[in-house]
Amino acid sequence: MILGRVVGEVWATRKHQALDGKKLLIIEPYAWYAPPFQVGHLVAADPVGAGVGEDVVVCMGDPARRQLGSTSIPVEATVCAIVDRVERS
Amino acid sequence: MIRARVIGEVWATRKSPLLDGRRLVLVGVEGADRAMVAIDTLDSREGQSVLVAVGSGARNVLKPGPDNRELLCDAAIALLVDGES
Repeated sequence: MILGRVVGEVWATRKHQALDGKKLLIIEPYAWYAPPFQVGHLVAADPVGAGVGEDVVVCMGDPARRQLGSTSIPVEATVCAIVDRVERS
Repeated sequence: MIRARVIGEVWATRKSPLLDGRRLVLVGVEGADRAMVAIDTLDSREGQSVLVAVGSGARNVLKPGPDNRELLCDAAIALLVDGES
């Protein structure tokens, strides 16, 4: 999973039907794990309800799709937690 | 698996119910300027050197497969390193 900040949201009327009702957020990762694309952001579906400016944990790949209740959805990243704080013991 | 070092613990109240009861830690990847979040079942401490299982194999750390595909996990600490040569 990766740690990132929500920097925006994407709206679309015309889209793949599996994306109906899915909220899509633009995330800027603080650090990449195995970057699939060499860009500074990713778009993640958000079933948790995060907002712009919040720090989130994003899960990638198959577990991310299953969190949305389907393995046949064209999404490879999903918000799975909204970070309260990172604590160093 | 990859080598990493525990940086801190990630606290989150609002999260997927699939993460309830799971401890999330931030780990820095050895030899790279990168960090990632992993599920920790081994009570790791900050500064601890660990191996992190990533990808679909990470779910096997929480529950041996194949009946574990419902788990929400793409990275999990598989062991705490005592020593290496």
